[in-house]
Amino acid sequence: MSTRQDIFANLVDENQGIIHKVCRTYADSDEEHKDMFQEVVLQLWSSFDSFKEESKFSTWMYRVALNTAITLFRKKKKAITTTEIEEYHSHQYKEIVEHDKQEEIDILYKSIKQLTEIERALVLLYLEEKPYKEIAETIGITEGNARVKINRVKVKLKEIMQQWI
Amino acid sequence: MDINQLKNVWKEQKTTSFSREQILAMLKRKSSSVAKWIFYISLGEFIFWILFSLLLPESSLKLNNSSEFFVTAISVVNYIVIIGFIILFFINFKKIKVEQNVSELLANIFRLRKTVRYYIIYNLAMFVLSVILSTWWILIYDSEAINIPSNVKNNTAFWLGLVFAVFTVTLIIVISLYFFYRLLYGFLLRRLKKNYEELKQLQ
Repeated sequence: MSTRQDIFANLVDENQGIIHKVCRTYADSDEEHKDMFQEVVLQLWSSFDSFKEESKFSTWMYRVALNTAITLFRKKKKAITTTEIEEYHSHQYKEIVEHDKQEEIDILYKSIKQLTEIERALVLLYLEEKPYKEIAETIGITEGNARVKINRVKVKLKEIMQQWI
Repeated sequence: MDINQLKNVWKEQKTTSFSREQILAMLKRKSSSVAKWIFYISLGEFIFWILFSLLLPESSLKLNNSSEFFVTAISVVNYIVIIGFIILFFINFKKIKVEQNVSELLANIFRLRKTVRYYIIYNLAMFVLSVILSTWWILIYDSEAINIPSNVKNNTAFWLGLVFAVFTVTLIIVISLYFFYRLLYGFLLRRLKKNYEELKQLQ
C-alpha cells in the first residue's frame, strides 16, 4: 500500500515540469533555481493535507509554487548581474533542446525577467494555456481583470522581446 | 513575434528533472537548516555573553584571592561546558544530512532537540548554582568584601532580608533568561518538532 509520502512524491515527480518553469521564471541562477525548487516542494508537502482532491493537483501546485516563488523573489535582496542571468539561461537546457528553439526559449525567459512578479505569473499561466477563470483564481483577481492584465502584459512582453531579436 | 505562437515553444521546452528519490530527500532538508541555525545562534550567544561580561563595569566588591579564584573557577567550568555544547550542536548540524534515511534522520533530530533542552536547563541551573555558591562562599570565607555594618551582623531579620533579596533577584533573572531562551530557541525547537512528527508519520 502506498504511503502518503509515496503518493506525494509520485505527484510531484509527474508534475515537476510546472515547478521548474515557475523556478526558471523567478530564479536568476542554477543555485537559486535548485533552492527555489526545494522550497516549493517543502511548501507543497507542508500544505499537502489541505489539498482537496476534487481540484486538479497541477492547479493547486501552480498556486503554491507561484506563491512560494514570489515570496522568495520579494525576499531576495541582492540583485545579480545580467551576465550571470544570461549564462544561466543559455546553458540550462543546452543539450536537450535544438538550437533555435532553445534560443527562443532563452529570449522568452530573458524577456519575462523584465516583468514584475505578478506579470511573470500571468504570462506563465497564459503560456500554459490555463483558462482565464483559473488564472484569475490562482492570482486572486477577477476574471475580467485577468483578461485586461494579460492583454497588457502581452503587449509589454512583445515590446521587450523586440529588443532581443 | 506573436506571443500566441510562443505557446508551442513554451510547451515543447524540456525541463531538467529530479528523481523521485531526490524529491523525497528534499522533504528532509529543513531539519538540516534548523540545525545550522541552532549552531550559529549558540555561537552568537556565546560571543554575546563574553562581550557582555567584558563590557560590564568592574564590580565594586573587593574580593580576596580565594574568592576571586572561586568565581573565576566557576566561569571557566561554565565556559568549558558551553563550548562542549557548541561542539555538540556543530556535530548535530553536520550529522543531519539529506542523504540519510528517515530512521537515522529521526534519531538525529531527536538527539538535537534533547541537546538544546539540556543546554537551556544547564544554563538556567548553572546560573542558580553559581549565585548560591558565590553568595555562600563570600558570606562564609570573604564576608569583609560586602561591608556588613557591625550592628546588623547578628540580626536575623537582616539575614532573612538578604536571602529574600538574593532569591527574588535570582528568580527574576531566571525567569527573564527562560523567556530569552524560549524566544531564541523555542521557534527552532517547534520547527524541529513539527518536522520530526511529519517524518515519523512518513515512517
